[in-house]
Amino acid sequence: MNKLPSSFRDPDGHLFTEEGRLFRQINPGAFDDYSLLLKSGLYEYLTSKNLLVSHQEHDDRSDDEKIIIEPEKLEFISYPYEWSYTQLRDAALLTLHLQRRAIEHGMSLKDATAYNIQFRNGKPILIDTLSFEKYEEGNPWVAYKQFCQHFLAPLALASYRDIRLTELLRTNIDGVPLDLASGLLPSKSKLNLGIATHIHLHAKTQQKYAGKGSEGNDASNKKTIKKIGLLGLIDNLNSTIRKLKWKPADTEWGDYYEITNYDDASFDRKKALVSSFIDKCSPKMLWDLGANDGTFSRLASEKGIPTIAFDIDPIAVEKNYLRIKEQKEKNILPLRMDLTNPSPGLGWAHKERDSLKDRGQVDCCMALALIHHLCISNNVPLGMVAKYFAALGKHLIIEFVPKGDSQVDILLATREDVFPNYHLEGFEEAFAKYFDVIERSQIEGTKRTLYLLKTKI
Amino acid sequence: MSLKNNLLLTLSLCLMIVPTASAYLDPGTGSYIVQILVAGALGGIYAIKMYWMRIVNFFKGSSASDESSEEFENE
Repeated sequence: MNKLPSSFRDPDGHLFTEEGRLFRQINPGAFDDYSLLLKSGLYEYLTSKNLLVSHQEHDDRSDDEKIIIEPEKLEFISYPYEWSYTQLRDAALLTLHLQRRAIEHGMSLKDATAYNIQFRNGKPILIDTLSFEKYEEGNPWVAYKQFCQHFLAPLALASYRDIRLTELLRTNIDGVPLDLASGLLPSKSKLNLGIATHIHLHAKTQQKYAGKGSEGNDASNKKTIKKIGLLGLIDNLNSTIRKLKWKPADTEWGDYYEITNYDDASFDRKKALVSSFIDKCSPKMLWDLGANDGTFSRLASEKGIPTIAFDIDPIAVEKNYLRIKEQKEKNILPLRMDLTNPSPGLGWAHKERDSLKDRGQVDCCMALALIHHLCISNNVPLGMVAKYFAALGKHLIIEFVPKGDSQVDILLATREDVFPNYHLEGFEEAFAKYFDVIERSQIEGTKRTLYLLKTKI
Repeated sequence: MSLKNNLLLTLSLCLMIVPTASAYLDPGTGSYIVQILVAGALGGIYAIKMYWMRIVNFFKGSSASDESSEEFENE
């Protein structure tokens, strides 16, 4: 039995794995709430709508001290600092929707962490069965502050300031502190009633009662919140988030496919080659590194292969997610990832949130039109790229973009060429240390070469 | 930058600054208090909104459905 290192905050239970299967132990303190979740019909309702992961009970392993359930295991765990704006927004709106449905069933969300939401088949879903507790009328929503920190604050910062401020979720594991958000937001955000109350007033009230100990508690204990007030609060948070917009400016990547040196025929040949390489390694999961808006990722996802489409550009990831929503696409998850500084292990002992590498090694990685950005824009030597890619995937479909290609020439136009080994022979030599070549093919009509590689055992 | 612009910038920066809270302090009390205040004010508005939606839906002849239900519960 391996207890998951991220599963320690809630004393009501924990997750563990056994022979690749995922289990959740429920402790006696949560027996009543778990029983109510089932008896109230909330579990059946939420799972039937794909809003909560389903599970199987293991009566043979349960006793007076514990209940063991086996929740559905997701193929990939992503984190809020890897989501696009609308992914974070949808996770927030789902959390509020779950809270409303919970109240209707006499329950309430006892936490509202963004880490409890994952994406499956293009839609957000709650993965924590133990998030529900009995609702007692009069009690405030215990997760209100956490919701504001994990969702409202980063969304408001992205909307009013800059999308890059959502990366504060990476440095603040329990969400963006509200005093920080309040300080970073522009004055005009105080004209938005929802932001003025849930962030600015909230931050000031936190400060006012901070350090007052029992005095503050007395003030909060004397008053209660009626159910209608709680529903009003949830509704107001919902409408506040729905009114927030993120209107991205054009980036260098947003229209990348329109400005490459591919003509239509070459582009189609590249797609056909990539598709045939995917068929040859028939992966159970594929990571597309530098996926842009997911054009090539879809060659895998449309074959039914679970595909993660990573890109550094928040606009490309946003476009990809919006398309998935619109087309109701499955098997593809777009995520923000700067490969020159990928998601690290975070939290207690670096183990609460896995690094990108710790979520591998997958069957296949793709790196199309990427290597020149890593080697020339970021000075990463070819050998180091090969070593890292070998750690991420067993197979690698990679496109080498040589000097003389218009995209490489653009990168070299404003800087000295200090990359004497950046050529086809240098590439093959560097990658040969970690990979065997299964197949290689020049992409007709371009100077580029596409490889299907397999890691050396 | 003119003196006027400098003053405006300084003033707006001052308005934005919220002093940092210390880490050892009670994390929840202020949140509870603001929730009580906000929920107290929003309860009545929500009740009116719900009645209004019922009236609208009655005349439209449609059943009540909000954006989140449409978005998350319709396959």
